[in-house]
Amino acid sequence: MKLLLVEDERELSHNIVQFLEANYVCEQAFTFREALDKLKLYTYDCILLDLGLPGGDGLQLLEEIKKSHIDSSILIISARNALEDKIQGLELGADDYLAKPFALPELSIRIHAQLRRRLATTTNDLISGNVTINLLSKQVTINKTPVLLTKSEYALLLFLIGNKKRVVSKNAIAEHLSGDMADMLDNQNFVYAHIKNVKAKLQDHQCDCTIKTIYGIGYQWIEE
Amino acid sequence: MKSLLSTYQRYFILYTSLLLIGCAPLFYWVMEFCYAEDLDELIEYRTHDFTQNQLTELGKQDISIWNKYNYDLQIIPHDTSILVNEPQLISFFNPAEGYEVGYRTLYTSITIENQPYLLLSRIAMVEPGDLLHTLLYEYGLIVLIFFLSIVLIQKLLAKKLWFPFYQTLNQIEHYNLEKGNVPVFKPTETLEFNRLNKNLQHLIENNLAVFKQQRVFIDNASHELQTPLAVFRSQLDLLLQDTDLTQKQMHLVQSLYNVSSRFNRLNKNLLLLAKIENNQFQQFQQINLAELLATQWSFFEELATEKEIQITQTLDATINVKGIYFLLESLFSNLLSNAIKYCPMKGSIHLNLDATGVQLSNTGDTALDPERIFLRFNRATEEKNGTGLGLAIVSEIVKLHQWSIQYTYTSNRHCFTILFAKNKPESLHKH
Repeated sequence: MKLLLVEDERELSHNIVQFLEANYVCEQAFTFREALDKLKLYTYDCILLDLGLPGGDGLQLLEEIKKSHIDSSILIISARNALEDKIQGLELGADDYLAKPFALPELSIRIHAQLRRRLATTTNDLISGNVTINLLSKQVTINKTPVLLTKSEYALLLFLIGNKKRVVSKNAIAEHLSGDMADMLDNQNFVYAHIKNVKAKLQDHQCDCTIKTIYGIGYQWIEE
Repeated sequence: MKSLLSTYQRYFILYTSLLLIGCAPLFYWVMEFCYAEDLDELIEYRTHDFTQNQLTELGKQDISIWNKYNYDLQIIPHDTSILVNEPQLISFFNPAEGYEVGYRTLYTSITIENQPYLLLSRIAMVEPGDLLHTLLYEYGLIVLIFFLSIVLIQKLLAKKLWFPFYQTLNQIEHYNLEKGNVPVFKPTETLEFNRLNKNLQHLIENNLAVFKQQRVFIDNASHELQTPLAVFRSQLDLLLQDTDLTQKQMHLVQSLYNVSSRFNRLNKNLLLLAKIENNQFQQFQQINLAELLATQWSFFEELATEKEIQITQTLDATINVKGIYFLLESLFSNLLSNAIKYCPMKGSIHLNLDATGVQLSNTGDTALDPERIFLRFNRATEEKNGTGLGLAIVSEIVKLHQWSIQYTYTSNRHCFTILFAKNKPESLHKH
């Protein structure tokens, strides 16, 4: 899996690469020109595109990509969270839009979702240990026994498994579960409540994976 | 308030009427004077004619006969107390009218058979009543015609002259800074209006430039602040992956996470406020409020259950308002989250939506200052995580929709009432 990260802020770019490199081959472009050159030479499965670039606007680059019939998934990562930019980006053919600042696990799960859609594998199942998640029917089974989860619990489980082996912060989970509403909910106790419920349900079904709590500030999905 | 043209016309009519009425006595006096002048000439002529033609033939014995047939040209005994050779106004009995009337009279000294006499030549003046009557008709007619035509001419003229002014007024009334185009004013033949248009155009162009700069600034500020925040956030996410961190260090990481999200919230809210104030939201649409409120509510339900808050709501599902969806979401999520945040354990929240507006109340122990509550960075409590901008945003959104919001505190309940009516109630922001 190859990614192109078009982001002029070097530090952010390096952090993203460091976070994602366990799963993907990441290449970086820091300017409009550099991005254009790399796109001409190589093909990528997914392009992460910042909108404010030195030497040109990201939306312009998006137009170029679409004109050249480059068939990569495109995820806009931008500080310009203006609604118009978002709509314009998606209209121009971007597949997703993530406003800065974002949590790295959130970025990771969005890329994951894009690539999964692209590959359209024969199975729509996400498997981890004895847990199987059917992404189409949103059905979770452990040892072939269905597990009844609420909408939030399902999203939480998917978020953790999608970021397996990584520690995911409570803040990232809160934002993932409540979207823009996380701004309003400065109380993150609800994350703890959801984790507790999911843990109990997993245990009830003899799940061989666990959610490890890291000093109460983060959580990690551990496959046995 | 009255329009410029009608005010002008009112004053014009008032002052012209006063002037014309004030001139009437003058008119009367002039007419009377002219009439007297005329009569004086006539009596002088008669006196002259008498002394030239009749006097030489007249003897003493003829005086009584003469006086009998010439009522207005009498010969009377000489009297030194009478002013001679000077026309004057004297009252005499008028046999035709049957009472005394004013006569223009001229006494002249004459000599008949070496005996001095006085010749009295007189003609009755027009009576003041008759003169006034004539004057009323004549003057009244003139005034009426004059008045009507002046008013009509003035009206047509003013309309024509002021037309460019009203055209300009209309153009700037429909002008919208957000749309970004400077209105084009048609050149006029009036110097002042051309000046006005030129200056207006200049002013609007300047404003537009500043507005555009401001917009770019907001956009830049957003970018400039969000990017370091994103870097900061990503560092933390990486740091969290470090398995060697101690519990103490992890707690530091958590507090940094909290700072980062607070910073982010603050930045987002400031940008939102700036955008609302700069009228950068234009997409008004029909919104079913009950649906919007229900969606918003679903996000907060869990929090409410956690605090064992008793919730009652009455939502009229038929209420549609014209609004900006994104902003209304923000408005109600701010109000709902506040209600839950400040509602004590096992308290209650009531939400009501009807045709007049939305009412949200929750249990609370101390009243807030209704004068300050909607101001920026006005903290009512010691609570640390708020940005101090929530209610300022609420108030701006309400203003943008031309609604009104009111805060009251009665029987241990905070109550926010949004009224859809465009006219603000007088009790706004007051108890």
